[in-house]
Amino acid sequence: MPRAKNAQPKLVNIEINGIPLQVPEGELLVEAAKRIGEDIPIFCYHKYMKPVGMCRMCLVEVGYKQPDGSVRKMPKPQASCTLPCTEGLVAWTQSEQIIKDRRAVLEFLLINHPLDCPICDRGGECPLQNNTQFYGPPISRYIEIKRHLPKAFPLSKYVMLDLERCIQCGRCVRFTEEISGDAQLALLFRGAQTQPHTFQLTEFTSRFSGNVIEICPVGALTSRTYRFRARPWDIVTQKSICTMCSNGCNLYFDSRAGKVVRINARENPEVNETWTCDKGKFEQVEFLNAPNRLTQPMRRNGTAWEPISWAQAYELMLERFARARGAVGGLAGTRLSNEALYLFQKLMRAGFQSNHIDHRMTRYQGDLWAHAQSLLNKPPVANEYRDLEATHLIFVFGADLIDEQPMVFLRARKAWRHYGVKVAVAYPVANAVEEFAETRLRYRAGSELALVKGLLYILLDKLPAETVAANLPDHEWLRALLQDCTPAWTQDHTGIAAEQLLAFADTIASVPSMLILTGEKVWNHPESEELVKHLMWLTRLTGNCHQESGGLNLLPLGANEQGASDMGVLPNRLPGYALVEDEAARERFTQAWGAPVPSTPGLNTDGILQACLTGEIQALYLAGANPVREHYDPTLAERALRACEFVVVQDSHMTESAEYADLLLPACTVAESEGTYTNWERRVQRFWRALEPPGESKPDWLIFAELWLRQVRQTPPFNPREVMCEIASLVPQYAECTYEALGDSGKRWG
Amino acid sequence: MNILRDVLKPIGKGLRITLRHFLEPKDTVFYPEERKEQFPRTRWRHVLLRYENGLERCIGCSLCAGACPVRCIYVEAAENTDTERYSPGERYAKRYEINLLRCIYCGYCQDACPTGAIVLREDYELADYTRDAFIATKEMLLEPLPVRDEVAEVAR
Ligand code: SF4
Ligand code: SF4
Ligand code: SF4
Ligand code: FES
Repeated sequence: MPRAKNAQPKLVNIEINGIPLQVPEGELLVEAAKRIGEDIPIFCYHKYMKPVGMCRMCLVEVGYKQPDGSVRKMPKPQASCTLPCTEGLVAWTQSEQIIKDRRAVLEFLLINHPLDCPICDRGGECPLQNNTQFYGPPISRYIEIKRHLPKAFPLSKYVMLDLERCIQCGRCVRFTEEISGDAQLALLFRGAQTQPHTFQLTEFTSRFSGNVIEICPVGALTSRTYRFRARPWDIVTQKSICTMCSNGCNLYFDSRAGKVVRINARENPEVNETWTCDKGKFEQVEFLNAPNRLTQPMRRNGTAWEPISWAQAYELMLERFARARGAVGGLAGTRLSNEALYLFQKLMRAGFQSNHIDHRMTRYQGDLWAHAQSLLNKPPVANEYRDLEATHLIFVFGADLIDEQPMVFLRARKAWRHYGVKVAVAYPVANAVEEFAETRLRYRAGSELALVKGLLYILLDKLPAETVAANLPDHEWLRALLQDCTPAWTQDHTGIAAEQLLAFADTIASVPSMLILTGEKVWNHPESEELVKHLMWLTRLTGNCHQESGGLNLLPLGANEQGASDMGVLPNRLPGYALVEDEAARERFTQAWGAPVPSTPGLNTDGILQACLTGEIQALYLAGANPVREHYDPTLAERALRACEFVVVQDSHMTESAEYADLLLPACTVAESEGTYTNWERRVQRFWRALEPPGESKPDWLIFAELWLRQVRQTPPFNPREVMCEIASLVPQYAECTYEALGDSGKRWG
Repeated sequence: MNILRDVLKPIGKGLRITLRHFLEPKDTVFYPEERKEQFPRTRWRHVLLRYENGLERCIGCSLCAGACPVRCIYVEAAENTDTERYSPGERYAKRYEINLLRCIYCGYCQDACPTGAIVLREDYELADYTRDAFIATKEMLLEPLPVRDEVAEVAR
C-alpha cells in the first residue's frame, strides 16, 4: 500500500525510566527513548534501515502494565531496537542489570578489536570509542592472542576495509541490500570468522558506496580519499548543499587548512534522509580541489594570459559591452546560487539592456512554464520526494535515474520496497531501475516520441469514455493526430512488443495515480518540444494532473537549474515567471531596479550561439556556464565562442570554454560562498561559506553586484542575505524564502 | 658625633657583609662557555624520538595537536609503504610542525602521545632572529638516526 500522505498515527501510552509519554504505536523503543532525551547506545540499529538486533548493545529491561495496574517484567533484557512500542510498555534503560550487560557486550566486542584508535580515521568520532568511554569496562581481561585479519584492504576506488576493526553489525551489508539495492556486500563465513566483504572479493562498484563509510560504527570501512588526511579535531565543518545534480542533498563540508577534505551527508528527512551518492561525496571533493583554479582576473594577450586587477577587468568588460550596444548575450551556469542568478539577469536586463540570457544546454529550450501551466495547470515538476512513496505507479521515462537523480532513485526504490509502489521504466539501454521495475520497456534509441504516442493511442481506447471526456474534453483532435499510432506501428518504431505495451497501458489504466519522472533523453530528444507536449497530454489524459501524489516531473539536471528558471534566467521570463512582454510586471521590476527592462523576448541558448556566429551578438558573458562541455552540440558552441568578438568567462576553474575567453574573471565554488539553491522539487535550501576564497577570486554574486554598481551607478547589495530579501520582495514564489525563514533544511515553494 | 661609632663602624659592618659574600661560592654562570645543569624533568624544546632500530615513534595521529591548549602543533599524516617506511604500522607523520613562539611548554602533548614520540627536553636555548625560525619542523625536531654499533666502532 502506498503510504498515505500526512496520515495521523495512533498514539499509545508507555513509560521509560518512570517518565510517562505518548508515542505513535509501533515506534521502536530506541527511537521513543530519544523523546525524553535518553540516548540508548546502539551499533547495528540505523534510523533509515530495518532493525535486526545483531549487536545487543541496546539492551533494556522491559515490562508491561497489567490490567490490575501492576507491571509484569520480562525475565531477560530486550533489544530496544527491535521492540515496537505498544500500550502499557514500561522500560528501564539505566538499571544495574543493564549497566552490567552493556559493559559485558562491549568487553566482548573489544576482545578481538585491534584498538589502533590513534591511527584509525574513525578515532574521535567513533561510536565504538564513545560507547566504550561511556558504558564500557576500563580494562580488558582478555590476555590471549587476538585474531588477525587483513588490514587496509581496498574494496574500491573509494572504500577501504579493515577487517580487524569490524564488529559484524551488518549495517554495510544491509545498506547494499535494503537501500542501494546492489547487494554487493555480504557477511561471509560464520561465527568468529564472520566478515563483511564483496562476493568473490570483486570490486565494490556501488554508486552509493560512500554511505557505508558513514554508517559503519567503527573504523572498519573508511574513505580512501580521506585516508589519514585529518583527525576530527583538525577539521572545521560547515553546512552545505551538493552541486553535482538537482537533488539538493544536504551535506557537511569538512575542511582543513583551506581545503575541503571530506564531504558527509547532513540529515534531512525530506530530501536525502542521511544518504549521498558517490558523485556528491567523492567527485565533488575532487572538483573543489581541482588544481586548475582561477585566482586572478586575466585578459587575453595574443595567445598568453595577462594578469590584471579587478578594476582593470571591470573597466575592460564594461567598455567592450558598451561598444556592443545591446548586442550582448549571457549564459549562466546551473551551479550558481539563486542570488547570483538573480543579480546576473538583473545586470543583463537592466544594466546591459539585453534579454538574451539563458541557462539551458539541452535541446529543449522552449517555454516550458507556459506549456505546463496551460496544459496541466501545474509547474513542470509536480511532485516532491514524499510523493514517490504515496503514489501507485512510478514511471521512469528516458532517465538514467541512478546517474541523473541518485536520491530520486533511492526514494523510488524505497517506495517500491517499503510501500509496494509499482515501478515502470522505459529506457533504450540497461537501467538500474530495471532491478525492481515491474515493467521494463527497452525502446529503440530515439523513439521516445513514438512510445508516448503509442501509449496515448492505446489509453484513449482503454480508459473509460467518461474519464477521457472528463480529463481531455477536446480529445477528438488528439485521436485524429494519433490515428496511425496503433500498437503495431509503435512496435515497428520502438521495438517494443505490442502485447507488452498493451499490458503496460493496462497497468496505467488500473492505478489511481501515476508519477512520471523524465530525464536527459527527453530534454535532448530531437523533437523535444513535441515529446514534452505529448507527455503532458499523457498526464492529463490519465487524470494525473489533478492528483496530489501523481503527475509529470520533467526533472531538471543541473544543481540549480530550477533556481535559474525561477530567477528568470530565461529569454522571455522575468524572475517568478512573469513575461517580459507583460507591461505591469516590467513596470514593477523597473521600479525596483531603477532602470528599464527591455520588452522584447531575447534569444535562447541556441539562438545566442547562432547569433554569435552571425555577429548579431558581439559580446558574450559566460557566468559559470561551459557550453563547450555542456551544450548538446559542442561544435556549435566552440564555433560560436571562436566567432564572438568578446567573450567573458567567469568561473571557478579553467574550463573548456574559458580557453576561448578574452577576459577571465575568477569566481568562487560553493564552498567559498554563501547563498541558496533550489532543487528539483522547488525546495529552496541554504548553503554556508566553508572556506576563504583563494587568491583574488570573488563570489559570483559579488562580481555581478560590483558590475551593477559600475554600470548602473546604484548602491549594490552588500551580502547574499540582502539579495534574498530583494528577491523575496519581488518574486511572489520566494516571498517566504528569506534566510531566517529557510533555516537549515529549506522550504519548498508552490 | 662620634666618628668612630657613627661612621667607620657601620662602614666596616657593611664591608664585612660584602666580604662574606665575596668569599662565598658564586651562582653566576659564565654563559655561553658554561651551562647550568637542568633538572631531569625540565620541559623545554620538544624532541621527536625514534625506536632503537631507527624508525620514528611518531605515527602522525595528531593526538598531541588535539591536546595542545594553544593549538600550535600541525600534523599531516601519510601512509607507510613497504619501500618507504618511516614508522612501524600504517601511518607516519609527513609533516610535523610546532610553533615554538606560541607553545607554552605545558607538556600536554607529551602526555597525549600514545607512543611516547614527542617529549620536552632540556634544550632551553630558543632565541632566534626571525619569527619563521620558530616554526620547528619535523626535521628539526627529530632525533638524529642512531649510529649503528659497528659504524660507531669504526669511527672511534
Ligand atoms: S564493516 Fe562496519 S558496518 Fe560493516 S559489519 Fe563491520 S562494523 Fe558493521
Ligand atoms: S544525489 Fe545529487 S545532490 Fe545528492 S549527493 Fe549525489 S550528486 Fe549530490
Ligand atoms: S608543550 Fe603544551 S603548548 Fe607546547 S606544543 Fe605541547 S601541548 Fe602545545
Ligand atoms: S542496536 Fe539493537 S541490537 Fe544492535
